[in-house]
Parts: sequence; structure tokens; C-alpha cells
Amino acid sequence: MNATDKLTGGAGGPPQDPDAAMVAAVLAGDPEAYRVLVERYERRIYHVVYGMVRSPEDARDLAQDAFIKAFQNLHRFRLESKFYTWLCRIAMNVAIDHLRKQKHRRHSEFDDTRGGAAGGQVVRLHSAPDDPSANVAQARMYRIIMDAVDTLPEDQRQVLVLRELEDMPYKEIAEILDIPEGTVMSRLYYARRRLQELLAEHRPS
Amino acid sequence: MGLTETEASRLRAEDGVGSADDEKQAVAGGHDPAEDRAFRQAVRAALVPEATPPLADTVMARLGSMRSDVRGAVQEEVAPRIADSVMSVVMDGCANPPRVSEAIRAEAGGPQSMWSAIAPAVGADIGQDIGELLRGSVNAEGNFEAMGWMTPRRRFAIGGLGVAIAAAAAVLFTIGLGGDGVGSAATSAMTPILDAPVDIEDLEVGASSLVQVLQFGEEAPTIIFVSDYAGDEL
Repeated sequence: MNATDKLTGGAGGPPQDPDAAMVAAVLAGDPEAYRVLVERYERRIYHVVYGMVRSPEDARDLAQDAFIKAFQNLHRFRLESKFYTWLCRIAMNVAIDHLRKQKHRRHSEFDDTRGGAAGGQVVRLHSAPDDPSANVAQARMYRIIMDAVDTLPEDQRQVLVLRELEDMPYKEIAEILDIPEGTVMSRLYYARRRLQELLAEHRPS
Repeated sequence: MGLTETEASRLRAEDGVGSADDEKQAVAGGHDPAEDRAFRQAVRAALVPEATPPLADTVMARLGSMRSDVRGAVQEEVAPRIADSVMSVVMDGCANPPRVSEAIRAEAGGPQSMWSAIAPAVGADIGQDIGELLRGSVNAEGNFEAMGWMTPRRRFAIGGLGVAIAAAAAVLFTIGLGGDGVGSAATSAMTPILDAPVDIEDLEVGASSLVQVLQFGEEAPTIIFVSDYAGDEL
């Protein structure tokens, strides 16, 4: 069984994994098949990168860079891992590289228009969602949270972003970051505790 | 830094992946898993960007342009040389293409004579026949008779070098000025005096010319004497 067969589940057999089938198609000489993968994961990759860099423009460019790098290195994709896990690792590395180059990173501009989709628990923290003052309060809270996230060490922020935005299991985060699962748990735990400390004074009574 | 059992239980509980025991242990440690989960939701909501820009078109366009670059590089490898194309047009229908050297000579004209400057240096008159001067110099230095330049060249080479080179320079310039030697090659009249091999591809002189070729070593310049003579002169 060759590499393409492994990706597609063997000659004549049905593809084991839709991502693997697309990867096999690209490697077989159909670069347009890569569009399927980009469209499938562009939202998630953008979110991950945005969670790290906190700039919509930078996140867009870096997410594109991540997809480009993945394409260029597709022949190195390890068949035993999930494509998204591999792609996410690339995106995270791209974001980290960007952050390290950007020594004096500016704080992300606050967007007054954001809101909604916060979930019932968040609503519980504030006033009624129809109340305009509630939106302002919520936006203020987001700003405070993100400012607090910005103060986290890089390694803790990585874990927090992958866990909160992607809802990834500890094990998958460990695979992406190439660290032990226990390290993932401890980084996540301390990241949250630090955020709670920073936000304690802003929480509604 | 690792986590204690209580901390690990609290983490799993707030992530919603803990067991009942984890919940109990978190509560026993003074934590409220529900409040932790609410806080987690707030963080998650803050992290999510408002909108997600479409990336596929841009990514595919960038990949497409990169592939075009590769295509361009490959095409450059196999592209015909421009010079070849130009020359094929220039030479099209030209059975006897012009020789560049001839074209240059025609354009530049003949060189200026330097004999007037050289003659005083070698003790000659400007109007003196160069061939006669050279033969006289060579014969005097080499101490051989008129036909002696067919004899072994050693004697000639010992003493005649300085004069011979200076004179030869004058002769060569004279050849350039002459231009009337259009006869067939006078190979039979050429007599080499050589210390090293000389390769003369072509030499055209008049039918009554005398040619003398001097080569004093592999690194030395080739000296060629050409003079017109009446058969009884030598």
C-alpha cells in the first residue's frame, strides 16, 4: 500500500477520512482539491489565529499563510495524524512566530459592534440582553477579558485558545503543541486562575 | 508545575469532562464548578471573533500565482535563446553570411603606419625598404648567407633576437598597410626558422614575395617577415 492508498483507504476502497481523500487528491496532482480543505477549516483556523494575535487583519493574513505553508508541506503530512491537527499546529506556529516578531504588539482595537452568542451563563453575569446598557457592559467585559488574555504567557494562551475556541480534548492539544497532556492541563488550569484573578474586581457583584 | 488532585478535578469539572468524584472533590476544595463554567463561557465568548473572512479564494489565488511562478521558471529553462532567434532572422536567406572580421576591417580602414616612429629606433631611414633592412639585420646577427635562413636557426636565434623583434613589428604593420598581396599561397617559398611549433592557418602574399617565419619559443610571439624580391636578389 503506497502513501496515496493509505490516505484513501487502499486501492478501490472507500476513503477512510474525507480529509485524507482530499490530501490524496492534491498529492495526486489536483491542487483544486485543496480548496475543499481550506473551505472546511478556514473558520476554525482563523479563530485559532485570531485568538492568538487579536487582530482581524493579522489573523486573516496569518491564517492564509498557514494554509499556504500546509499546502507547500503537504507531502510531509504524517498519515497517522488528523489533517486538522497538523494544520492547526502549523497555524499555531505561524501565530507564535508573528507574536515573537511583533515585540511591541498593540492591543486589539475594541469593536463596539460585537456581542450576542455569549451563552446563557454569560448573560447571567450581566443584565438583560435587550438592555442597551447590557451590551455596553458585555462589551466592556470582553475587553477586560481580552486584555487579561493578552497578559498570559504565550504557552498558556495557546492552550487556552485551543481549549476554549476549539473545545479540543487535552490529548489533541498535547499533540498539536507536542507537549505532555499533563502539561496541557496545568497550563490551562493556571491560565484560568490567572484570568480569574485579573478579572475578579470587574465581576458583577 | 503539575496539578494536585483537587486542582485536576476542578479543571476537569469546569471543562465538563469530569466525573462525579471530580465535582465532589472540587466542591470539597471550596470551588464552585458552575461558577467556573460560567467564567469559562465568558472567556470563550470574548475570544471568538465577530466575523470570519472567507479565505479560500485568496489562498487558492496565492497558490495559483505560485504555481505560475514555477511554470514561468520551467518555461525559462526551455525557452529558445534570444540570440539564436535574432540570428536566425538576420541570416535568413543569406547564403554567404558576412564575416565579422571583414566587416570590422572595412569599417575601420587600415591602421596608421608606425614605421616613422620605429625606424629611428632601429637605426633605419624612413624611406628604407623594410624587407631589406630586416634581412640585413638578421643575416648580420645570425652570420649566415642569403640562403642561410634555411640552415639551422640556432646561430640566428642567439644574437638576432632584439633586432629581429623590433624589425618584425615594423614588417607586420607593413603587411597590414600593404593589402595588395592577393596571389595564391606561396607555400613553397616559406621557410620556417622555428624553436617552437607554429600554426599558420592562412597567409596570402604576392607571387614574388619572400616569407620568413620566426618563432623563438612557445611563449614568444610569432614573427613573420614578408618581402617582395626579384628571384636573383638572394
